[in-house]
Amino acid sequence: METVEEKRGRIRIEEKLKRYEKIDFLGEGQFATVYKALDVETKQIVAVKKIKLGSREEARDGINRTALREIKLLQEVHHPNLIGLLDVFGYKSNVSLVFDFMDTDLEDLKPNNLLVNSAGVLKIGDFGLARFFGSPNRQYSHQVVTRWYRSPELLFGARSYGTGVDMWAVGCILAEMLVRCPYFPGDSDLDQLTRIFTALGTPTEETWKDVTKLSDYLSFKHFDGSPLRDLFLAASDDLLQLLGGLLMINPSKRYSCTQALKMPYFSNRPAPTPGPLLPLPPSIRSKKETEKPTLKRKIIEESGFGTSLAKKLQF
Amino acid sequence: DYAEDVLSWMHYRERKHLPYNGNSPQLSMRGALVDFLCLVCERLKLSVATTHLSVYLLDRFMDAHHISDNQLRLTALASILLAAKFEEKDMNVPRIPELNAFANNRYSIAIFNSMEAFMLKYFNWNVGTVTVAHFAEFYLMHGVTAGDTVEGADLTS
Repeated sequence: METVEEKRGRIRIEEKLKRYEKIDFLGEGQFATVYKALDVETKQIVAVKKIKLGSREEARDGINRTALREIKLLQEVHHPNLIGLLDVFGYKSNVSLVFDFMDTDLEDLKPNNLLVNSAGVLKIGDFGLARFFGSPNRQYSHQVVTRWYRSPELLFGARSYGTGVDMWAVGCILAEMLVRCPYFPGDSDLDQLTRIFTALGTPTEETWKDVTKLSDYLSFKHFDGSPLRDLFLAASDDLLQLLGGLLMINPSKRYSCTQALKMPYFSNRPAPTPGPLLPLPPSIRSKKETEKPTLKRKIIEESGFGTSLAKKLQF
Repeated sequence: DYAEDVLSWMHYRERKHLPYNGNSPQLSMRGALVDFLCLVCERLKLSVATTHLSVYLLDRFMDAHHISDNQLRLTALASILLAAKFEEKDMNVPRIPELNAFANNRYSIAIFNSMEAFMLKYFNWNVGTVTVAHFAEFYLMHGVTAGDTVEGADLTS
């Protein structure tokens, strides 16, 4: 027998299903499918991320725990550069998250998770594996960042690591922006370390105390590494100085966020271009032009002046 | 490096706890239910953080709902399930049948799933929070340093 409260809950879910009208399929990842949708209540364009159930076996354990954690984090962090969670709804063991819609693609700090909207505002878009600071049992997994952006200490199996892992990722992203392709595209963890050490030099006990004590430490062939100046020919000195601080192999010598922001690179001329004046990628520019009338038509359809052909989101 | 920030955030999060009024119509059952919950956590070797979080969830949920006697254990077990998903490593999160065994397999998987979903809705999908266990861990990490003793014994060893 369905209790009154269960019935009320079920009705609420059905309302949610109607509230978001699917417009377009945006992408599919390992854990989720993302749709572009129209919120018929606010007339706002949103992104609906439907968490995949995994195996039938997994579904029997109820709500996906990674999704639970992501929801919690998103509800607690509010920042202009973090993606905003607008709504959450579930049906049986399914969970769907409703986000601000971002014009570029949708835990870890890698270019695919950095989203930019048409106002030029950048937002970090995925917290799938992030755990908030101060959580007990803080033996984190070391498989947390997409390999190419993973820091040497993570690759050596460090279990108690700090925010330095993110600063390394930022360094990799910065390098990628300079050369326009991933800077350390390793195809295995070993290859990843080899690429890093070939470019920047192999660490020793002298340059990184206790590195040999890390659980997955391996002795590598000695590389001297090259000065950054020789690796990034077109970069200015202040930028190389910043990059050098971020791509420091020894995590205790790597710059913190505060240190990095104080570097001359951020105060030297030229000043950054204001967000709305940034050029849009051609693919989005053309989409934006065709999109407006479609949206207008949708709203007219909604108001009852047209026949609604829009598919309903099915969860 | 962020000890101060972490602590002030923990205090902030604690102030946002749902109020507890002791309004549950089943309040007289609470003692036995918490004993049951602790026993389950202990048998499944769950962490102290999980135990504390499940008691928090159980209390807040009972405070606002009339729960029939035969659903009380389900409520406690679902609280453990949710808390463990937050606090435990993947491998240690109990499976529903493991939990159900503590209630003589009285409940169906489907009822577990809908209880979990119902509780999530009640908590507005935000079930992770700081508990005494988090504060204790924080102070152990940041407040106790090498050389501290209690009754002559080294605290850090």
